[in-house]
Amino acid sequence: MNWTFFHRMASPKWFYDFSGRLLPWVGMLALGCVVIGLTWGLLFTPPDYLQGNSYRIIFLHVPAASLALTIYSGLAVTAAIGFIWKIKLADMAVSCLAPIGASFCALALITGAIWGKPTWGTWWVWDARLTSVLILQFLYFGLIALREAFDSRETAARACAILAMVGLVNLPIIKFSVEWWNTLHQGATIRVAGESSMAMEMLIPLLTSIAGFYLFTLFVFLLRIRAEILNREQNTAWVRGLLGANF
Amino acid sequence: MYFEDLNTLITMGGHGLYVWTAYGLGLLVMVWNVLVPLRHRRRVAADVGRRMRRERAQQEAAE
Repeated sequence: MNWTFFHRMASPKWFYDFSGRLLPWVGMLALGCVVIGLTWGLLFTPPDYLQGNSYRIIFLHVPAASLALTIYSGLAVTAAIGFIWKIKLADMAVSCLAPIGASFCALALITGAIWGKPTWGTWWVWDARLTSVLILQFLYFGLIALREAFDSRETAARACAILAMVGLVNLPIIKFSVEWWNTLHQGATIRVAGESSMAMEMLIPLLTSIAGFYLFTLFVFLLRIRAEILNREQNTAWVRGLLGANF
Repeated sequence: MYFEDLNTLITMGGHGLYVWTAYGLGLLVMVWNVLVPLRHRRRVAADVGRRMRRERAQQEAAE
């Protein structure tokens, strides 16, 4: 097998150029899906027969919660790759994914609390699902804080990678918390295998919104890592050539 | 549209405050995620530009 593509991909300059071509398409697609998904869910779906209109928060809550988990898995896998092969770009990706994941995790927790008030009668309960997601939030904050705690970039990268890999234990706990324990939080509505327990007229805008938020995450991740590449490579000839042209 | 008029859209049968607050926060998170990298990029570009100008000035002074 030819591994040159792997090394080329891990080169910051190659990645910067490649992502620059991708960026406008991802951005437009993300914006389209998010606007369609949220407008549809907010204005054009019928209310839930039990929850009334409060259920419309689902079109925001589910994508945010799903992303909080997916971003963490991506972050941990990237951290492991960077840890083993000492790839600079992998550590840049880890540092960029942490704040994005933290923001979506916070959004999932807060929209969940807002949804919980009219539905459960309380903002917060210490049930297994809510508590394990709160731990995920602290893992994200921990990753951000840990990076700031080191002067050496290499040491910070190694410490963050180890924390990221250890924190992976929390993901199956979040995922199966609603099955293992008797939680106030409901089980999964969308199933990849088997039938989803949701009406089509609500499911389709939800899936559109999820797709939109995943694309949006890719978009802001690319924005972040491109800025980070310029930051860390600012002494190289290509970055100076690129940025120097403006001065 | 499901809602008959603007008023029912805003109040949402008593759930308006919950729903609209959630969507407002969602918008805030999205805007934050776009603004932070743009600001970072501008800061890096300004730093590099400043350093390059300084080096050029030093070079000219040495000549």
